[in-house]
Amino acid sequence: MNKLNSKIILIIGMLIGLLACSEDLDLVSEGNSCPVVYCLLNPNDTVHYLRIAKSFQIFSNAMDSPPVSDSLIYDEDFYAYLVENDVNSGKEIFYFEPCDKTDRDSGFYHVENLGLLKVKCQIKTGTEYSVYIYSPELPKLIVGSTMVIPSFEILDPVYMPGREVTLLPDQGFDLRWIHNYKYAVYQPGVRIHYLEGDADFQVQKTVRLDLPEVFSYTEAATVVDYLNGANFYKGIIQQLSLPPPGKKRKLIGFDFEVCAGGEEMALLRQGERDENNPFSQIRSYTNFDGAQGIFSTRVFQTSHNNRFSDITENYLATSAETKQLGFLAHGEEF
Amino acid sequence: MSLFKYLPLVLVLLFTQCDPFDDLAGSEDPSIPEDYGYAEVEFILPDYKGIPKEGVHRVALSFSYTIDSLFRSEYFEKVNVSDHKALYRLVFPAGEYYWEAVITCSCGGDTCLNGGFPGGKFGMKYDFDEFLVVTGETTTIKTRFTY
Repeated sequence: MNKLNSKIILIIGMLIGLLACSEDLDLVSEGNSCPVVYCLLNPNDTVHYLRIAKSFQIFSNAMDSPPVSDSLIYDEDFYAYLVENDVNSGKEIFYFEPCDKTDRDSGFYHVENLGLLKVKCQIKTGTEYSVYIYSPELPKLIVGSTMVIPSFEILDPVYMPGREVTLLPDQGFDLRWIHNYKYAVYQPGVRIHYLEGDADFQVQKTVRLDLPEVFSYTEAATVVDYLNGANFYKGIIQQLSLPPPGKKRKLIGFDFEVCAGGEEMALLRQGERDENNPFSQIRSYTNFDGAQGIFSTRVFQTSHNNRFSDITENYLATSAETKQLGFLAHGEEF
Repeated sequence: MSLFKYLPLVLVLLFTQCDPFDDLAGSEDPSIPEDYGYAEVEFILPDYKGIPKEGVHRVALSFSYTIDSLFRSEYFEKVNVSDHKALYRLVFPAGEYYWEAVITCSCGGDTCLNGGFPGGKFGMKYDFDEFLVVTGETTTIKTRFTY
Protein backbone atom coordinates (compact mmCIF):
# COMPACT_ATOMS: atom_id res chain seq x y z
CA MET A 1 0.00 0.00 0.00
CA ASN A 2 2.82 2.31 0.97
CA LYS A 3 4.58 1.39 -2.28
CA LEU A 4 1.44 2.20 -4.28
CA ASN A 5 1.05 5.56 -2.51
CA SER A 6 4.63 6.50 -3.12
CA LYS A 7 4.27 5.61 -6.85
CA ILE A 8 1.11 7.73 -7.14
CA ILE A 9 2.83 10.62 -5.36
CA LEU A 10 5.84 10.26 -7.72
CA ILE A 11 3.62 10.27 -10.85
CA ILE A 12 1.63 13.28 -9.60
CA GLY A 13 4.87 15.06 -8.78
CA MET A 14 6.24 14.38 -12.27
CA LEU A 15 3.01 15.61 -13.89
CA ILE A 16 3.05 18.81 -11.82
CA GLY A 17 6.69 19.33 -12.71
CA LEU A 18 6.08 18.87 -16.44
CA LEU A 19 3.00 21.12 -16.47
CA ALA A 20 4.73 23.83 -14.44
CA CYS A 21 7.58 24.12 -16.90
CA SER A 22 6.57 26.23 -19.91
CA GLU A 23 9.28 27.24 -22.35
CA ASP A 24 7.03 29.18 -24.74
CA LEU A 25 8.21 32.70 -25.38
CA ASP A 26 5.64 35.34 -26.23
CA LEU A 27 7.47 37.19 -28.99
CA VAL A 28 4.57 39.43 -29.95
CA SER A 29 3.25 40.53 -26.60
CA GLU A 30 1.24 43.72 -26.48
CA GLY A 31 3.75 45.81 -24.56
CA ASN A 32 3.35 49.45 -23.55
CA SER A 33 3.25 52.26 -26.06
CA CYS A 34 5.60 55.17 -25.69
CA PRO A 35 5.09 58.83 -26.71
CA VAL A 36 6.69 59.86 -30.00
CA VAL A 37 7.34 63.58 -30.42
CA TYR A 38 8.72 65.57 -33.35
CA CYS A 39 9.46 69.29 -33.23
CA LEU A 40 11.79 71.02 -35.70
CA LEU A 41 12.32 74.74 -35.16
CA ASN A 42 12.99 76.90 -38.21
CA PRO A 43 14.66 80.25 -37.40
CA ASN A 44 13.43 81.63 -40.76
CA ASP A 45 9.78 80.95 -39.90
CA THR A 46 7.42 82.38 -37.27
CA VAL A 47 5.18 79.31 -36.86
CA HIS A 48 6.60 76.09 -35.42
CA TYR A 49 4.88 72.73 -35.12
CA LEU A 50 4.95 69.95 -32.57
CA ARG A 51 3.65 66.51 -33.45
CA ILE A 52 2.84 64.02 -30.73
CA ALA A 53 1.76 60.43 -31.24
CA LYS A 54 2.37 57.09 -29.58
CA SER A 55 4.25 54.04 -30.67
CA PHE A 56 2.29 51.03 -31.90
CA GLN A 57 3.03 47.41 -32.53
CA ILE A 58 3.34 45.92 -36.00
CA PHE A 59 2.42 42.29 -36.55
CA SER A 60 3.00 42.26 -40.32
CA ASN A 61 4.64 44.41 -42.98
CA ALA A 62 4.04 48.01 -41.89
CA MET A 63 3.85 49.32 -45.45
CA ASP A 64 1.05 46.84 -46.28
CA SER A 65 -1.04 47.56 -43.23
CA PRO A 66 -0.92 51.15 -41.99
CA PRO A 67 -2.01 51.52 -38.37
CA VAL A 68 -5.51 52.68 -37.54
CA SER A 69 -5.62 56.30 -36.55
CA ASP A 70 -6.74 55.55 -32.97
CA SER A 71 -3.62 53.58 -32.24
CA LEU A 72 -1.45 56.65 -32.85
CA ILE A 73 -3.15 59.33 -30.83
CA TYR A 74 -3.68 60.26 -27.22
CA ASP A 75 -7.26 61.02 -26.33
CA GLU A 76 -6.41 63.51 -23.61
CA ASP A 77 -5.60 67.16 -24.25
CA PHE A 78 -1.98 68.25 -24.40
CA TYR A 79 -0.39 71.09 -22.61
CA ALA A 80 2.88 72.04 -24.29
CA TYR A 81 5.11 75.06 -24.15
CA LEU A 82 8.42 76.23 -25.54
CA VAL A 83 10.97 77.93 -23.30
CA GLU A 84 13.57 80.27 -24.76
CA ASN A 85 16.71 80.27 -22.59
CA ASP A 86 18.40 83.45 -23.79
CA VAL A 87 21.56 84.25 -21.81
CA ASN A 88 20.99 87.99 -22.33
CA SER A 89 17.24 88.49 -21.99
CA GLY A 90 16.41 85.55 -19.73
CA LYS A 91 13.62 83.01 -20.11
CA GLU A 92 10.52 83.47 -22.22
CA ILE A 93 7.65 81.00 -22.52
CA PHE A 94 5.54 80.39 -25.66
CA TYR A 95 2.48 78.15 -25.37
CA PHE A 96 1.54 75.71 -28.11
CA GLU A 97 -2.05 75.69 -29.36
CA PRO A 98 -3.96 72.98 -31.25
CA CYS A 99 -3.51 73.01 -34.99
CA ASP A 100 -5.73 71.49 -37.66
CA LYS A 101 -3.14 71.68 -40.44
CA THR A 102 -3.22 68.37 -42.29
CA ASP A 103 -1.33 68.97 -45.50
CA ARG A 104 2.02 67.27 -45.83
CA ASP A 105 4.41 66.12 -48.52
CA SER A 106 4.30 62.38 -48.04
CA GLY A 107 3.53 59.56 -45.62
CA PHE A 108 0.90 56.90 -45.16
CA TYR A 109 -0.23 57.70 -41.64
CA HIS A 110 -3.72 59.01 -41.10
CA VAL A 111 -4.16 62.73 -41.17
CA GLU A 112 -7.30 62.81 -39.05
CA ASN A 113 -6.93 63.28 -35.30
CA LEU A 114 -3.26 64.12 -35.59
CA GLY A 115 -1.78 65.32 -32.35
CA LEU A 116 -0.48 68.50 -33.95
CA LEU A 117 0.23 71.71 -32.06
CA LYS A 118 1.67 75.03 -33.21
CA VAL A 119 3.34 78.01 -31.62
CA LYS A 120 3.88 81.47 -33.07
CA CYS A 121 7.21 83.01 -32.15
CA GLN A 122 10.47 84.19 -33.65
CA ILE A 123 13.27 81.73 -33.02
CA LYS A 124 16.69 83.16 -32.21
CA THR A 125 19.75 81.41 -33.63
CA GLY A 126 22.49 80.37 -31.22
CA THR A 127 19.92 80.20 -28.40
CA GLU A 128 18.87 77.18 -26.39
CA TYR A 129 15.21 76.17 -26.46
CA SER A 130 13.39 73.59 -24.37
CA VAL A 131 10.02 72.02 -25.01
CA TYR A 132 7.77 70.67 -22.24
CA ILE A 133 4.71 68.47 -22.86
CA TYR A 134 2.18 67.44 -20.26
CA SER A 135 -0.84 65.22 -20.68
CA PRO A 136 -2.75 63.36 -17.94
CA GLU A 137 -2.43 60.23 -20.04
CA LEU A 138 1.35 60.39 -20.10
CA PRO A 139 3.28 58.77 -17.27
CA LYS A 140 5.64 61.75 -16.92
CA LEU A 141 6.42 65.23 -18.22
CA ILE A 142 8.21 65.11 -21.57
CA VAL A 143 11.23 67.43 -21.82
CA GLY A 144 13.65 68.12 -24.67
CA SER A 145 16.28 70.78 -25.37
CA THR A 146 18.12 71.99 -28.44
CA MET A 147 20.52 74.72 -29.51
CA VAL A 148 19.19 76.50 -32.61
CA ILE A 149 21.71 76.46 -35.45
CA PRO A 150 22.22 79.67 -37.43
CA SER A 151 21.63 80.01 -41.14
CA PHE A 152 24.40 79.18 -43.58
CA GLU A 153 25.61 80.49 -46.93
CA ILE A 154 25.72 78.66 -50.25
CA LEU A 155 28.97 79.47 -52.07
CA ASP A 156 28.58 77.29 -55.17
CA PRO A 157 26.54 77.37 -57.28
CA VAL A 158 25.70 81.04 -57.04
CA TYR A 159 24.02 83.10 -59.75
CA MET A 160 26.38 85.32 -61.70
CA PRO A 161 25.49 86.74 -65.14
CA GLY A 162 27.26 84.67 -67.78
CA ARG A 163 28.23 81.86 -65.44
CA GLU A 164 27.02 78.42 -66.52
CA VAL A 165 27.22 74.89 -65.17
CA THR A 166 28.39 72.06 -67.38
CA LEU A 167 27.36 68.54 -66.41
CA LEU A 168 28.47 65.51 -68.38
CA PRO A 169 28.81 61.86 -67.38
CA ASP A 170 32.51 62.53 -66.71
CA GLN A 171 32.14 66.11 -65.46
CA GLY A 172 30.47 67.01 -62.21
CA PHE A 173 30.13 70.12 -60.11
CA ASP A 174 31.59 71.01 -56.71
CA LEU A 175 28.84 72.22 -54.40
CA ARG A 176 30.02 74.41 -51.55
CA TRP A 177 28.43 76.02 -48.54
CA ILE A 178 29.85 77.55 -45.40
CA HIS A 179 28.52 77.09 -41.88
CA ASN A 180 29.62 78.02 -38.40
CA TYR A 181 28.35 75.25 -36.15
CA LYS A 182 29.99 71.98 -35.44
CA TYR A 183 27.63 69.05 -36.01
CA ALA A 184 24.96 69.13 -38.68
CA VAL A 185 23.37 67.06 -41.40
CA TYR A 186 22.53 68.47 -44.80
CA GLN A 187 20.05 67.27 -47.39
CA PRO A 188 21.06 68.87 -50.68
CA GLY A 189 18.87 68.77 -53.77
CA VAL A 190 18.67 70.18 -57.26
CA ARG A 191 15.38 71.52 -58.66
CA ILE A 192 15.59 71.52 -62.46
CA HIS A 193 13.22 73.81 -64.36
CA TYR A 194 12.19 73.15 -67.96
CA LEU A 195 9.50 74.11 -70.43
CA GLU A 196 7.22 71.48 -71.98
CA GLY A 197 4.92 72.08 -74.91
CA ASP A 198 4.82 72.97 -78.58
CA ALA A 199 5.35 76.11 -80.65
CA ASP A 200 2.00 77.57 -79.46
CA PHE A 201 1.91 76.80 -75.75
CA GLN A 202 4.44 75.79 -73.14
CA VAL A 203 4.16 74.99 -69.46
CA GLN A 204 6.99 75.38 -66.95
CA LYS A 205 7.69 72.19 -65.07
CA THR A 206 10.12 71.10 -62.39
CA VAL A 207 11.89 67.92 -61.45
CA ARG A 208 13.78 67.52 -58.18
CA LEU A 209 16.82 65.36 -57.66
CA ASP A 210 17.76 64.59 -54.06
CA LEU A 211 21.46 64.18 -53.40
CA PRO A 212 22.93 62.00 -50.64
CA GLU A 213 23.02 63.45 -47.14
CA VAL A 214 26.17 65.23 -46.02
CA PHE A 215 27.40 65.20 -42.42
CA SER A 216 29.74 67.84 -41.05
CA TYR A 217 31.82 67.55 -37.91
CA THR A 218 33.91 70.72 -38.01
CA GLU A 219 33.20 74.23 -36.87
CA ALA A 220 33.48 77.26 -39.23
CA ALA A 221 34.28 75.31 -42.34
CA THR A 222 33.36 75.10 -45.97
CA VAL A 223 31.39 71.95 -46.75
CA VAL A 224 32.21 70.58 -50.19
CA ASP A 225 29.84 68.13 -51.85
CA TYR A 226 29.89 66.78 -55.39
CA LEU A 227 27.10 66.74 -57.94
CA ASN A 228 28.01 63.70 -60.00
CA GLY A 229 27.30 64.23 -63.69
CA ALA A 230 26.47 60.59 -64.43
CA ASN A 231 24.05 60.42 -61.47
CA PHE A 232 22.49 63.70 -62.56
CA TYR A 233 21.48 62.24 -65.94
CA LYS A 234 20.48 58.95 -64.32
CA GLY A 235 18.20 60.86 -61.93
CA ILE A 236 16.58 62.81 -64.78
CA ILE A 237 15.93 59.59 -66.72
CA GLN A 238 14.36 57.99 -63.62
CA GLN A 239 12.18 60.98 -62.76
CA LEU A 240 10.97 62.03 -66.20
CA SER A 241 8.67 60.01 -68.39
CA LEU A 242 8.51 60.47 -72.15
CA PRO A 243 6.94 63.76 -73.24
CA PRO A 244 3.35 63.67 -74.59
CA PRO A 245 3.17 63.12 -78.37
CA GLY A 246 4.05 66.27 -80.32
CA LYS A 247 5.53 68.00 -77.27
CA LYS A 248 9.14 68.98 -76.70
CA ARG A 249 11.09 70.12 -73.67
CA LYS A 250 13.54 72.96 -73.16
CA LEU A 251 15.94 73.23 -70.24
CA ILE A 252 15.70 76.53 -68.35
CA GLY A 253 17.99 76.24 -65.35
CA PHE A 254 18.17 74.95 -61.81
CA ASP A 255 17.91 75.92 -58.16
CA PHE A 256 20.22 74.35 -55.62
CA GLU A 257 18.49 73.72 -52.29
CA VAL A 258 19.98 72.63 -48.99
CA CYS A 259 18.09 71.76 -45.83
CA ALA A 260 20.30 71.69 -42.73
CA GLY A 261 19.35 69.75 -39.62
CA GLY A 262 20.87 70.47 -36.23
CA GLU A 263 23.09 68.28 -34.08
CA GLU A 264 20.22 66.06 -32.91
CA MET A 265 19.05 65.42 -36.47
CA ALA A 266 22.64 64.59 -37.45
CA LEU A 267 22.89 62.03 -34.63
CA LEU A 268 19.55 60.49 -35.53
CA ARG A 269 20.35 60.23 -39.24
CA GLN A 270 23.89 59.00 -38.61
CA GLY A 271 22.51 56.21 -36.42
CA GLU A 272 20.04 55.21 -39.11
CA ARG A 273 22.52 55.08 -41.97
CA ASP A 274 25.59 53.60 -40.27
CA GLU A 275 25.81 50.09 -41.68
CA ASN A 276 28.34 48.99 -39.07
CA ASN A 277 26.02 49.94 -36.29
CA PRO A 278 24.17 46.78 -35.18
CA PHE A 279 21.23 48.96 -34.17
CA SER A 280 21.14 50.81 -37.47
CA GLN A 281 17.58 49.72 -38.14
CA ILE A 282 16.41 50.96 -34.77
CA ARG A 283 15.69 54.64 -34.41
CA SER A 284 17.16 54.61 -30.97
CA TYR A 285 18.46 58.17 -30.71
CA THR A 286 16.22 60.72 -29.04
CA ASN A 287 16.87 63.95 -27.19
CA PHE A 288 13.56 63.78 -25.33
CA ASP A 289 13.28 62.66 -21.76
CA GLY A 290 10.11 60.59 -21.47
CA ALA A 291 9.53 60.11 -25.21
CA GLN A 292 11.01 58.96 -28.47
CA GLY A 293 11.49 61.43 -31.31
CA ILE A 294 13.54 64.50 -32.02
CA PHE A 295 13.64 68.16 -31.04
CA SER A 296 16.02 70.01 -33.33
CA THR A 297 16.48 72.81 -35.86
CA ARG A 298 16.14 72.89 -39.60
CA VAL A 299 17.30 75.70 -41.85
CA PHE A 300 16.73 76.05 -45.59
CA GLN A 301 18.92 77.81 -48.12
CA THR A 302 18.46 78.06 -51.88
CA SER A 303 20.60 79.31 -54.74
CA HIS A 304 18.24 80.36 -57.55
CA ASN A 305 18.51 80.96 -61.30
CA ASN A 306 21.58 78.89 -62.09
CA ARG A 307 22.09 78.21 -65.78
CA PHE A 308 23.23 75.15 -67.67
CA SER A 309 25.80 75.49 -70.44
CA ASP A 310 25.11 74.77 -74.11
CA ILE A 311 27.26 71.63 -73.74
CA THR A 312 24.84 70.30 -71.08
CA GLU A 313 21.77 71.19 -73.17
CA ASN A 314 23.22 69.50 -76.24
CA TYR A 315 24.17 66.36 -74.33
CA LEU A 316 20.66 66.07 -72.88
CA ALA A 317 19.15 66.54 -76.35
CA THR A 318 21.40 64.20 -78.29
CA SER A 319 22.92 61.48 -76.09
CA ALA A 320 21.65 57.93 -76.62
CA GLU A 321 20.46 57.67 -72.98
CA THR A 322 18.54 60.97 -72.79
CA LYS A 323 17.38 61.91 -76.28
CA GLN A 324 14.04 60.07 -75.83
CA LEU A 325 13.16 62.66 -73.14
CA GLY A 326 12.56 65.17 -75.94
CA PHE A 327 14.80 68.05 -74.83
CA LEU A 328 15.73 70.66 -77.42
CA ALA A 329 19.39 71.34 -78.16
CA HIS A 330 20.92 74.75 -77.43
CA GLY A 331 19.47 77.41 -79.72
CA GLU A 332 16.60 75.20 -80.97
CA GLU A 333 13.09 76.61 -80.64
CA PHE A 334 9.76 74.83 -80.03
CA MET B 1 81.60 43.16 -32.55
CA SER B 2 80.67 41.58 -35.88
CA LEU B 3 77.27 43.28 -35.67
CA PHE B 4 78.89 46.72 -35.57
CA LYS B 5 81.24 45.68 -38.37
CA TYR B 6 78.34 45.09 -40.76
CA LEU B 7 76.13 47.93 -39.48
CA PRO B 8 77.28 50.49 -42.13
CA LEU B 9 76.55 47.96 -44.88
CA VAL B 10 73.07 47.26 -43.47
CA LEU B 11 72.34 50.99 -43.23
CA VAL B 12 73.53 51.58 -46.80
CA LEU B 13 71.25 48.76 -48.01
CA LEU B 14 68.31 50.14 -46.05
CA PHE B 15 68.62 53.65 -47.41
CA THR B 16 69.33 52.71 -51.00
CA GLN B 17 66.66 50.06 -51.47
CA CYS B 18 64.22 50.48 -54.29
CA ASP B 19 61.57 53.18 -54.05
CA PRO B 20 58.11 51.73 -54.80
CA PHE B 21 56.99 55.10 -56.21
CA ASP B 22 60.07 55.48 -58.41
CA ASP B 23 58.27 54.25 -61.53
CA LEU B 24 55.57 56.85 -61.12
CA ALA B 25 57.93 59.81 -61.07
CA GLY B 26 57.34 61.95 -64.12
CA SER B 27 54.02 60.36 -65.04
CA GLU B 28 51.78 62.32 -62.66
CA ASP B 29 48.68 60.22 -63.18
CA PRO B 30 49.23 56.69 -64.48
CA SER B 31 45.53 56.45 -65.37
CA ILE B 32 45.60 59.00 -68.20
CA PRO B 33 45.83 57.56 -71.72
CA GLU B 34 49.00 57.72 -73.80
CA ASP B 35 49.51 60.92 -75.79
CA TYR B 36 47.64 62.94 -73.18
CA GLY B 37 48.98 65.78 -71.08
CA TYR B 38 47.81 68.27 -68.49
CA ALA B 39 46.80 71.90 -68.62
CA GLU B 40 46.92 73.67 -65.29
CA VAL B 41 45.12 77.01 -65.25
CA GLU B 42 45.87 79.51 -62.51
CA PHE B 43 42.70 81.57 -62.80
CA ILE B 44 43.90 84.59 -60.88
CA LEU B 45 41.46 87.39 -60.10
CA PRO B 46 43.40 90.63 -60.55
CA ASP B 47 43.40 93.43 -58.01
CA TYR B 48 41.59 96.46 -59.38
CA LYS B 49 42.00 99.85 -57.81
CA GLY B 50 38.83 100.81 -55.97
CA ILE B 51 37.12 97.41 -56.38
CA PRO B 52 36.97 95.20 -53.29
CA LYS B 53 38.26 91.66 -53.78
CA GLU B 54 34.84 90.10 -53.21
CA GLY B 55 33.41 92.29 -56.00
CA VAL B 56 35.31 90.48 -58.80
CA HIS B 57 34.08 87.04 -59.88
CA ARG B 58 35.13 84.23 -62.18
CA VAL B 59 32.52 83.68 -64.88
CA ALA B 60 33.90 81.21 -67.42
CA LEU B 61 36.92 79.17 -68.42
CA SER B 62 36.49 77.59 -71.85
CA PHE B 63 38.63 75.81 -74.43
CA SER B 64 38.53 75.74 -78.24
CA TYR B 65 40.46 73.91 -80.93
CA THR B 66 41.00 77.00 -83.13
CA ILE B 67 41.14 80.77 -82.70
CA ASP B 68 38.13 81.35 -84.95
CA SER B 69 35.97 78.88 -83.00
CA LEU B 70 37.06 80.74 -79.86
CA PHE B 71 35.77 84.01 -81.34
CA ARG B 72 32.52 82.29 -82.34
CA SER B 73 32.15 80.99 -78.74
CA GLU B 74 32.27 77.39 -79.93
CA TYR B 75 33.97 75.59 -77.10
CA PHE B 76 34.66 71.90 -76.73
CA GLU B 77 35.21 72.17 -72.97
CA LYS B 78 33.75 74.46 -70.32
CA VAL B 79 35.06 74.29 -66.79
CA ASN B 80 32.73 74.85 -63.84
CA VAL B 81 34.43 77.86 -62.26
CA SER B 82 34.07 79.09 -58.71
CA ASP B 83 35.11 82.18 -56.77
CA HIS B 84 36.51 79.82 -54.18
CA LYS B 85 38.86 77.88 -56.43
CA ALA B 86 41.76 79.36 -58.41
CA LEU B 87 43.55 76.31 -59.78
CA TYR B 88 41.93 74.17 -62.50
CA ARG B 89 43.64 71.07 -63.83
CA LEU B 90 42.52 69.42 -67.05
CA VAL B 91 43.59 66.50 -69.21
CA PHE B 92 43.80 66.91 -73.00
CA PRO B 93 45.24 64.92 -75.90
CA ALA B 94 48.62 66.37 -76.88
CA GLY B 95 48.18 69.28 -79.26
CA GLU B 96 47.48 72.97 -79.69
CA TYR B 97 44.46 74.61 -78.07
CA TYR B 98 43.03 78.00 -77.14
CA TRP B 99 41.74 79.02 -73.75
CA GLU B 100 39.43 81.87 -72.76
CA ALA B 101 38.77 83.17 -69.26
CA VAL B 102 36.03 85.64 -68.32
CA ILE B 103 35.55 87.71 -65.16
CA THR B 104 32.91 90.18 -64.04
CA CYS B 105 32.35 92.80 -61.36
CA SER B 106 29.29 92.95 -59.08
CA CYS B 107 29.82 96.24 -57.23
CA GLY B 108 27.19 98.94 -57.25
CA GLY B 109 27.40 102.49 -58.56
CA ASP B 110 30.33 103.41 -60.82
CA THR B 111 32.84 101.23 -58.99
CA CYS B 112 33.04 98.60 -61.75
CA LEU B 113 33.17 101.18 -64.53
CA ASN B 114 35.95 103.11 -62.80
CA GLY B 115 37.78 99.84 -62.25
CA GLY B 116 37.85 99.17 -65.99
CA PHE B 117 34.89 96.84 -66.51
CA PRO B 118 33.17 97.85 -69.74
CA GLY B 119 29.57 98.93 -69.09
CA GLY B 120 30.02 98.97 -65.31
CA LYS B 121 28.24 96.44 -63.08
CA PHE B 122 28.33 92.90 -64.52
CA GLY B 123 30.47 94.08 -67.42
CA MET B 124 32.85 91.33 -68.53
CA LYS B 125 36.59 91.24 -69.07
CA TYR B 126 38.11 88.59 -71.30
CA ASP B 127 41.52 86.98 -71.50
CA PHE B 128 42.61 84.32 -73.98
CA ASP B 129 45.68 82.71 -75.49
CA GLU B 130 47.03 79.68 -77.27
CA PHE B 131 48.69 76.81 -75.43
CA LEU B 132 50.35 73.53 -76.20
CA VAL B 133 49.75 70.24 -74.40
CA VAL B 134 52.72 67.87 -74.45
CA THR B 135 52.38 64.13 -73.75
CA GLY B 136 52.77 63.38 -70.04
CA GLU B 137 53.68 66.96 -69.17
CA THR B 138 51.91 69.86 -67.49
CA THR B 139 51.41 73.15 -69.28
CA THR B 140 50.77 76.01 -66.89
CA ILE B 141 48.45 78.83 -67.93
CA LYS B 142 48.13 82.05 -65.96
CA THR B 143 45.31 84.50 -66.57
CA ARG B 144 46.30 88.18 -66.77
CA PHE B 145 43.32 90.31 -67.88
CA THR B 146 45.58 93.11 -69.08
CA TYR B 147 43.40 94.08 -72.06
